[in-house]
Amino acid sequence: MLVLKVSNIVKSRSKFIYLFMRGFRNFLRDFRSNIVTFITIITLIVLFNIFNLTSVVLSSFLSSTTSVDSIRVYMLDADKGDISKLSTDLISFDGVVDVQIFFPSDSKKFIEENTSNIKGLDKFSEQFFPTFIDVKLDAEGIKNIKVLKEEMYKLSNVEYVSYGEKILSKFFQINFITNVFIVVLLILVCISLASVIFNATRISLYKYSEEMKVYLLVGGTRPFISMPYIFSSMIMSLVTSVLAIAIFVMLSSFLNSLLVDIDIFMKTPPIWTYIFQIFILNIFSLISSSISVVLFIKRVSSVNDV
Amino acid sequence: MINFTDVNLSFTAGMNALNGVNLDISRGEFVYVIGKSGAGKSSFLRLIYADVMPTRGLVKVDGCDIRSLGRLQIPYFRRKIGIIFQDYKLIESITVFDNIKLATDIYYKLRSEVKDEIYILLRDVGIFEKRDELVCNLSGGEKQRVAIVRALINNPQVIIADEPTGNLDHETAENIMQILNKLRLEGTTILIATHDDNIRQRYPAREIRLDKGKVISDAGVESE
Ligand SMILES: Nc1ncnc2c1ncn2[C@@H]1O[C@H](COP(=O)(O)OP(=O)(O)OP(=O)(O)O)[C@@H](O)[C@H]1O
Ligand SMILES: [Mg+2]
Repeated sequence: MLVLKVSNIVKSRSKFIYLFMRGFRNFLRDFRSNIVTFITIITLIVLFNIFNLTSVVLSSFLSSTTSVDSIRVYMLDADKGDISKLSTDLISFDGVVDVQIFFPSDSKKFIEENTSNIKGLDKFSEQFFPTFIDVKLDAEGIKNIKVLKEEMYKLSNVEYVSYGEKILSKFFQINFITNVFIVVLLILVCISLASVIFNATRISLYKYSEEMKVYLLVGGTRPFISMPYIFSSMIMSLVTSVLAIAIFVMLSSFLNSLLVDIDIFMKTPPIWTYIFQIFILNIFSLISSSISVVLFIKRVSSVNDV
Repeated sequence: MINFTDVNLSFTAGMNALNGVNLDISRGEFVYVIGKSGAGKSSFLRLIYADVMPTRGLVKVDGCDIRSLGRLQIPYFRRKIGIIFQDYKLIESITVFDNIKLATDIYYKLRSEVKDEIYILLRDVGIFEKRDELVCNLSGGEKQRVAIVRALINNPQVIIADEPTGNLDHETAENIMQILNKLRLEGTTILIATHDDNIRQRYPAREIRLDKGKVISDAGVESE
């Protein structure tokens, strides 16, 4: 009984290998006529990754420029006593690590140092610049930043509290839009890839419909007839997607090696995104080639008319 | 072996390609199916290899009602039958050997496993020398012999030939008939649809005559 089972498994495995090898043979046999499909798929995937890279670079740029680690508390009219009282109040909050007081002269200097092209800044007298306290937060403080902000408003002599949330929310919007854009692009790429594979499979089926007819005539089963075509398109999509990703990774690391000289380094997407891409693309092509084969075989119902 | 009980077959409503056919063909019999063009000969043969299903009535092959065959079983059913056509249904762009190998592929067999068997049959029908020739370079008679080898390679119980000599001159037709006759002597059930009176006279056997889908005569030499 067990021996029978084992021999069945061996048999079905060798059948699988047999069909896979036929698929591989079909793949090689059709390689030349599928060159256009190849190039199309590679172009699609490389293009997609260029957009994806752009979005990753953009979002890493945004997150580094928008990283929040402090709250600014601007004061109404400040004398020395008020300022030191406020700063001791502020440092007693949970999540606050440090406070730094900026008097109008510091504010002016700060702006001068951190901006490059505000014309005539030096003509303004110091009294136009505010007094503010820069409150440095730890991780917990950043987490509760909204609550902290509300509480800081309640303190006396406070005119305005801000951590740049307006700019932040803009940045988040940009980030969100690029992510949506990338997802839409991925879906489009998958759909085009699926239809390209669908057509390539169909063309190959038409090309070998005579062979199919003969197999039907001599008693070939449907899986026997169809599996090689599905395998063949799977091999095709696997080879092209891996090749496309490889081309892209080489391209981007080459670009990075050029950029290193001028002290810029593109942050490349993590490796799993590539694996995920290959996975998704191949699932799509598997589905579309299967549909293509099943639809075709369904029509080939009679030996006498294909 | 083959039983038809009150079989009707119509492709388009109201038009019967076969009309009330009742027949029994036993194992090892050699049968000609004759009749005018459009009489229903091909349709009759197509029923036997389950390429079409009867509109009415019962078709049994080797005890098996062909209507009871599902999509999945038809391939296995068809392996019992070797089929030969007037237009050969070979693949012109590949070699003689590869054409025949297609028929063994369905058993997941490798080239090395079937080579000897194929060679023996190719020698039997006299086209061993052409084994690596592309089919498109062969003559009609040679092509038909390739088709016969392909039909025989899986040891079928029944051979069905739809005008196997239709495209061939007398001499070549004679040669094909010799091969089929040899199979007859070996005990294979053989059905041949033909227009060719010449070969029927040279190799007399039971003759089923069809006209407008009806059996109008069923007679001839009851050989065994
Ligand atoms: N696929 C089909 N669709 C519709 N009608 C068909 C089909 N096949 C055959 N017929 C019709 O069925 C009838 C019998 O055809 P069949 O091919 O069996 O004749 P036949 O005796 O083999 O003729 P021939 O000697 O010309 O080969 C004909 O009237 C034909 O038009
Ligand atoms: Mg006919």
